[in-house]
Amino acid sequence: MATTPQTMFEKVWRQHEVSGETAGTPAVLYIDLHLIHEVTSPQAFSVLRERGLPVRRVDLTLATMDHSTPTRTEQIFGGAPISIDSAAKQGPRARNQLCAIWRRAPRSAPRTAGHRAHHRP
Amino acid sequence: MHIIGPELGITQPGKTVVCGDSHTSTHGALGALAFGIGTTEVGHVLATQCLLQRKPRTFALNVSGRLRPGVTAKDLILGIIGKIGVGGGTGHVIEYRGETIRELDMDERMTICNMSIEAGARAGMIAPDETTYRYLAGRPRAPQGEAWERAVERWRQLPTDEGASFDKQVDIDASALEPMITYGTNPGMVIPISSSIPTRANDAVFAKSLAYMGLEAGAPIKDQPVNVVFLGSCTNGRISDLRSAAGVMRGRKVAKGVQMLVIPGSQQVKKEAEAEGLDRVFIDAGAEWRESGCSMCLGMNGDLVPKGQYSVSTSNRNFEGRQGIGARTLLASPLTAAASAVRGRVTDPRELMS
Repeated sequence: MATTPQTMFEKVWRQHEVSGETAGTPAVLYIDLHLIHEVTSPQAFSVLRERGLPVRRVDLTLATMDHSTPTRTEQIFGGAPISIDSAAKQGPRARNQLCAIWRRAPRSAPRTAGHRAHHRP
Repeated sequence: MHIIGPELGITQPGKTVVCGDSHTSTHGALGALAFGIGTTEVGHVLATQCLLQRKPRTFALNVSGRLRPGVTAKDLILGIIGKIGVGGGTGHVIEYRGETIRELDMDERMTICNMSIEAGARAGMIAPDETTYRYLAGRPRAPQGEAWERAVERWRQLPTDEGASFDKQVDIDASALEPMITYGTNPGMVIPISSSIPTRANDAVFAKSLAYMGLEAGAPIKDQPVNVVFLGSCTNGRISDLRSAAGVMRGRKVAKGVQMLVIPGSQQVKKEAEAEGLDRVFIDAGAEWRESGCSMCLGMNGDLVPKGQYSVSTSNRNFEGRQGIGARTLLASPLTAAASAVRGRVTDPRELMS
């Protein structure tokens, strides 16, 4: 029996559909890789902690910092401790974000591409 | 984030990739289904590794014709957004197809997919091929040995089947494109660099946008004075972007009064660039060679464009206040950014290329 030709998107979608969408409910899609950074994930970690939930697939989660990180070399490599103190100069919001991902991400243990890591943004 | 995923080889064809960031679409260049999610959804994925999602429609963007010298992948995607509009891809996943796309290298494909979201699309994808496999082979998180062979075999099944139908199709002739630059406050407000800003009578939104930008309808964009040049971001912060900009800047100086920031997309890009001496080209020209990050693309780390100043930026968004309160962003390619830094005004890079 000949199968209906599919687009690449449809193939990937179907391979990841845990349950299909209905008129009333969206589909449930499995995620192979979750990238997290300091701006949009600290709040999500707070919710997980409040509800006592662990990170389900630490091995499929990669964390790094990029949005609020300083770019002046002396701010990063010049003094200790690195990014958080130097980010403090950028104001409390950036500092809090960077502190939050450092405090929370390692505890929940996703792989963190740290600020001195070779592979980081 | 969007540079290190592919760089590590953790972004792979056929994967679903999400991140709490709009430009997650970048990873689609490797044949992944990749899109941005909100903070609440970040929580869902952390807790369940699943996401609730309505199935988007499909959109074939067929590109034919060879890009002319001095015209880059950035100009192509800006041209595409100019043609289909910032809402042109709404509710769709765009698949970029055609001979022109096949000829692009991975860095260029990432530039294209990165800006899918600026056309309103949920995601952008490019079918994996030999270029993709060559790029991924041997990367730290890519499959190795026998697992690699099996993965490639699986990936070869991914491209769209012959005869598959898309919900929407648009054809683009890349050979007709010029270097492109934005003049307004969304990426769809874009023109060829030799053109004039369009005139739209009785369009209050358009008028407001031009007032913010301090530009006149009908005026040429070329030779517009520039204060800041930003080379970097997940759109154009990869090694080939730095190479092409350095090619224009080698032996030249950043114009007096212009600040140029060069921000490699990752530490890996930075090291590679330094090994090639690109840092010296930028530093000798008077540009600032800095550490990697998102930087002036959105100014969250304090790298800001001062109020009222004009910035030629290789990033992806020119929204009001994106690069700082009152900052005026002109989006362009690394070549155009470099040429504009040298002249201190918006410059067609082909004038400086031999």
